[in-house]
Amino acid sequence: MRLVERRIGLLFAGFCLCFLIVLGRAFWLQGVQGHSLASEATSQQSEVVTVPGLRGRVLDRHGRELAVSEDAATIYATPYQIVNPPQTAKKLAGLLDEEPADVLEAITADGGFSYVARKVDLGKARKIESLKLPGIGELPDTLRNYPQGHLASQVVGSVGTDGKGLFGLEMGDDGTLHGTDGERLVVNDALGDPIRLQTTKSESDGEDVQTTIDSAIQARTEAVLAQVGATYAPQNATAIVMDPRNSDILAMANWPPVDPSDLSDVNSDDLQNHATGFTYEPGSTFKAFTVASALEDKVVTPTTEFTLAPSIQVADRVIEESHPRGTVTLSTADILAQSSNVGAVTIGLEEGADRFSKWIDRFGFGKPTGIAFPGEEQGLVPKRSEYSGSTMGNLPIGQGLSVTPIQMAAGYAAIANGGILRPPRLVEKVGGEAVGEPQGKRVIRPGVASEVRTMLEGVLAPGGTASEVSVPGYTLAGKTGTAQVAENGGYSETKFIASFIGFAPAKHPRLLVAVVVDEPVGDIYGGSVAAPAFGKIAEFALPYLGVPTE
Amino acid sequence: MAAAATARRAAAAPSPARAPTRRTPTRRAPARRAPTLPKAASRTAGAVRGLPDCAPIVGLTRGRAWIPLLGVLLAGIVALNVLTLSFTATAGKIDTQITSLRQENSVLRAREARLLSNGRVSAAAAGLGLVRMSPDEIQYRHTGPAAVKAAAARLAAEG
Repeated sequence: MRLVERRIGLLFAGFCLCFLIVLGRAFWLQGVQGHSLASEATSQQSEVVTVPGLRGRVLDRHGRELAVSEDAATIYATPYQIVNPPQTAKKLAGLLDEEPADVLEAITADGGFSYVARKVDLGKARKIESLKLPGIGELPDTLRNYPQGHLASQVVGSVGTDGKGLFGLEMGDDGTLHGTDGERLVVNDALGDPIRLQTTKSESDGEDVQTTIDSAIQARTEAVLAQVGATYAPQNATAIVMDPRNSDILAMANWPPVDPSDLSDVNSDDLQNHATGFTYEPGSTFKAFTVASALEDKVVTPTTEFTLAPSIQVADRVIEESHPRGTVTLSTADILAQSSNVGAVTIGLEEGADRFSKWIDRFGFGKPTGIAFPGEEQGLVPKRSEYSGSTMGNLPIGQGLSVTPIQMAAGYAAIANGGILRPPRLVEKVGGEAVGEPQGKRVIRPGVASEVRTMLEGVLAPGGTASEVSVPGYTLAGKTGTAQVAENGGYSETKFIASFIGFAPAKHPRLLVAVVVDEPVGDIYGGSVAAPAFGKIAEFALPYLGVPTE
Repeated sequence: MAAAATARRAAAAPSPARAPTRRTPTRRAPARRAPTLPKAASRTAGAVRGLPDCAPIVGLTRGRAWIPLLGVLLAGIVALNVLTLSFTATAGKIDTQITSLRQENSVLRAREARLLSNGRVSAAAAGLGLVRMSPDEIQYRHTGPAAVKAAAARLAAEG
């Protein structure tokens, strides 16, 4: 019995010892090492995953995507964890379509973190993930796609690797388009499977921006500009297609085009939307405003005749015609149709500097049109107080001031729609909410606008400066411009800007096209360089828009 | 038991001070409900007090049946925990699936946009031999009063 009691006592002592050991170990783990072990466990078991918010889409007026985002991944390396760098590099290079040497350089870089590839599409990322390469990881990312390629690239713009807009609408509407990244806490079990997910910050996608651009008209306009570029090799060229009734921009094209997905070899000047950012002396296209203002002030009528000498002197400046001629008698309509410099200056002098200066301001020159596009230039218009003796020998023929193509298009739209000047509209909806049509202001009476339209028909009629341009079934109206480029305090004899601004049908315009070609080579005239481009664009757009033939 | 009886007595014999309060309708309602709660509470308390003396419990605690019962209860707790963990894991997997589908959606939407691009559609149309018509080749149907009448008659005939 005593032996039994002794054994029981020993057993009890053994149990007590074991218990003490366990207690001691528990104290050591929880009391002494508890803090560091807990933080290690947290870092091993739980991770904060970024859930990217997708950037909003840029759409054309029919909802076709011009820019769209998709989920992607960034592949990174933790160099010291990679077991066999050359083999890893070879495997990754095959999937990433990159040179193994470049990948090897990335995964053997100094430090604990190195980017291998950014903005990798999910298909490739999944394949890389399935390889389970030690030291290679993925971070969620987004990829910006431009499904229409270079279509309207200078207008739509592009985004950088940080997801922020670099230029164009991507930059101008970055606040609307930009999504907000979310965060999710993931707790994994010992096998790495998630056992708890908690959204700590919800992601939100950016809002869509719907433009007024019609991608079909845009594509045609860019194709026509490409022909102009190939034929005349200009510095750049731009074209604006507009509905003059409400000033909606249907197309805004630039040449040369750029690929928004790859800007590595692009000249920064080519990224500019010349329609809003290029300033130039408009030349003869400005004469329409000279005549419109004189008609509005009842200084002239369309039939008022002027006897015009071969040249006219204003202060120290002698203004001649582009083609030498003798003394002629021309009506106001003839002056516009034949683009007479002497005639336009004569009308301008009849109008007087004070009133003419007010008309320049009234048609919106010298200030931004208000189009919703970043970086719009405002041109340069001399104030009345800055006029010299010869200023009125320059301004009526579109010299001595600089304008942008969009300002000219907006001004001509006022003539086309019966006298209302409106800010051009490029953005139709933001986040599904319609952007209101911009308020317009009357600048000339409907009767005067109608008279100018009729006179501008003469430019494309026999004897006009663009008589070779026609679109079967429609009457066209417009004005050519061949302006010398101002340089070194004078005008270049070799550099010109050829332009044409026209609309159709002439009586009830539904389409307005402005084409500006900077320094064409081989031919310089607006009637032969820019006007045919107008014709080709109108030939496509009028039937496309369902405008019936007359 | 004595306390419960006191409570019952207190409820059955309202104090004279309460009488005037019954005149207002707002105080009448709580006065009616007041006795029911102590009654229910006292009944429950009585049942709980009597539980150890009921036959099944007496049989269970005086025999060895409590051992398997405790085992079953413990196993139940473990099972419940496992189930909760399993549900959490399933929720996590579903959430991952949602994210994955959302990502796939964005990729498919981008692919669809590429397939519907102007350049591709134009090339496909050209491949099919489609050409753009010249404006003068387009014929427009002219309508007048006679055409309207004819259309109305046709609509009426179709019912």
